[in-house]
Amino acid sequence: MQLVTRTRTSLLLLAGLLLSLIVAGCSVQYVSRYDAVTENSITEIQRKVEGLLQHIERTAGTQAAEYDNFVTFYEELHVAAAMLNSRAQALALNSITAEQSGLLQEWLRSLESLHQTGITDPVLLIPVRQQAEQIFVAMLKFELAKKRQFDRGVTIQE
Amino acid sequence: MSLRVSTLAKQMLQAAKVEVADKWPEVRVYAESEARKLAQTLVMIQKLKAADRITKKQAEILLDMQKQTSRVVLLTIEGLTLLAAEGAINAAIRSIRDTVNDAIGWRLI
Repeated sequence: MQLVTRTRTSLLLLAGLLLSLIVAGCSVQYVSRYDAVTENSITEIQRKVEGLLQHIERTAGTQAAEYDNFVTFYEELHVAAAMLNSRAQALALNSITAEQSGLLQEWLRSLESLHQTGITDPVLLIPVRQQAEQIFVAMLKFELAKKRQFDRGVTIQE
Repeated sequence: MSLRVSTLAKQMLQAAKVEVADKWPEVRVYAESEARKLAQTLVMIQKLKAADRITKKQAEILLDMQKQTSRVVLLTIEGLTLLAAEGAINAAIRSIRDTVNDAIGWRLI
């Protein structure tokens, strides 16, 4: 992964420098600009997942925690994730976020599969909670880094 | 035999080091972090299995979820690297803007 990243970064650096000498009014852009809708969508999905985990933790082993009670919830969660993925794919230079949102969709489907097996013990959710935190923090960190980059560019131009 | 996070992580890192060879210094930090998280998940699965608190199906799903999580994290690292490169190039361009434009006589860059 890092090898690919380094190679890609080196090529982009070279291409960027060459382009900067050729193209008028130049600045380079390798990553999509910050998108508030994307950030809000990630946060909203995180809120839903956190609510679900808290509910199952409290009720694990009872009828209230059974998967059948959450079919509609998962449908809505998958719709929200699909919309995030579609938007991410539609934005230019946004392949990383698009791939991340695709992985988030896979992770949510896995979470649903885990729930279908019957979670009778809240201890099973400990690794799930850690994973959720890693995923959402990683995705938000990238979106906020885009925002900082954009804000910095605007400030300098002013 | 009880699995240990440090032992598992070390074994995974040794295999990874051989695989990436000369690029190891560049990927080491990320490999260590993700190997440790994967090892933690595996150790937890073993503890839950020993206590009869997890099924094989659930363990397989949890492992898949950990792999998906690691890929998201690594993609963020890739993205932050690209953003840093973008910022560096644009700073470089700005640093020569006035000099170049004044010398050429056009607002070229």
